[in-house]
Amino acid sequence: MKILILGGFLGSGKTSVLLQLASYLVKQSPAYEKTRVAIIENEIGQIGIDDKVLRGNGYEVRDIFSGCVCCTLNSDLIYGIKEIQETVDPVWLIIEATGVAFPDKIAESISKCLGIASRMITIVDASRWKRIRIPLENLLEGQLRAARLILINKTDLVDELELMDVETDLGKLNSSAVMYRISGIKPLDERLLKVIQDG
Amino acid sequence: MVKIINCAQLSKRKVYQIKTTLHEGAVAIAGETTFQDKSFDTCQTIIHEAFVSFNEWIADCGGIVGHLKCFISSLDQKEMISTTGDQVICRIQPSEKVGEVERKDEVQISIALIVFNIHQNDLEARLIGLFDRLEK
Repeated sequence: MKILILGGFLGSGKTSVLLQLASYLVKQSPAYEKTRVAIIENEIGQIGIDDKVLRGNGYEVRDIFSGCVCCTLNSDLIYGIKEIQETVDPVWLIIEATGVAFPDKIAESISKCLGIASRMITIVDASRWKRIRIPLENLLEGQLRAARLILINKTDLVDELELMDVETDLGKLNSSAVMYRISGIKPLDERLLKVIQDG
Repeated sequence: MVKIINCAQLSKRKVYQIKTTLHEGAVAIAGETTFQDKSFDTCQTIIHEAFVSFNEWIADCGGIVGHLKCFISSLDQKEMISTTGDQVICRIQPSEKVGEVERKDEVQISIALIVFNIHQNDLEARLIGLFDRLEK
């Protein structure tokens, strides 16, 4: 089972990317053997919204609400992953973290408890970066520090100059991550989806 | 993390319940309710207007919107209303069955607000105000 952790601040577009990615992974498989994709949806509040959207699109979703799996609900996450592995045994497990989670902490606990190395993608909202960069500095830096892939989203809402500033800033926070520009107004590039799939 | 199951301001006579979670400096408040004989479109309009006014109020107070999200669902319509502080966006969702069993005349509403730098009581009061408006 391959595990992919989707992180990023609230409203950055994690659920939209997840939907496209899950669809791509299923479509890539041969017709006689559909790739099984399972999703763990973690939401900080006690009532989920994104899980309803994902279910409405036909996916089986396991919810972990009312806290964050990177800290307070860590044991729920490990239990949930084990249960999925035993019952569904998917090829891919995608974990959508809350918008206030630290993806590297999630990856660390999965590695320690289950011995599985996760892939981490962090999504950034280019249109809000300047606004939230300073007041939420610790959170944003923590979300980006271990990402291998950073998707800069909502690029259609900012001009090229601002986009370059965002990229420079992100490069300072994580110089080893590969960055891609994406936009909610057009589907994800198939080459990018393949990069995510191939790690 | 502090979890407040029944928020302080909610009296027992309300038919809905809102729940507050505090985490990493964010106030996360969620509430859910079901209305009989209410129009989907009326609820959608009220929530859309409320989110616009929440955005303005939060900005005026120096707060930061994490996100404001609502999922409205009836037997044949589903929609997500969301904002991250600027534009309020309504997205029609696939009308495949989700959530609880819905009756023909029911509109189910789930709302989740996550905001930074805003006092918990003030945000709770706003959400209660929205539910009260929907109930009228």
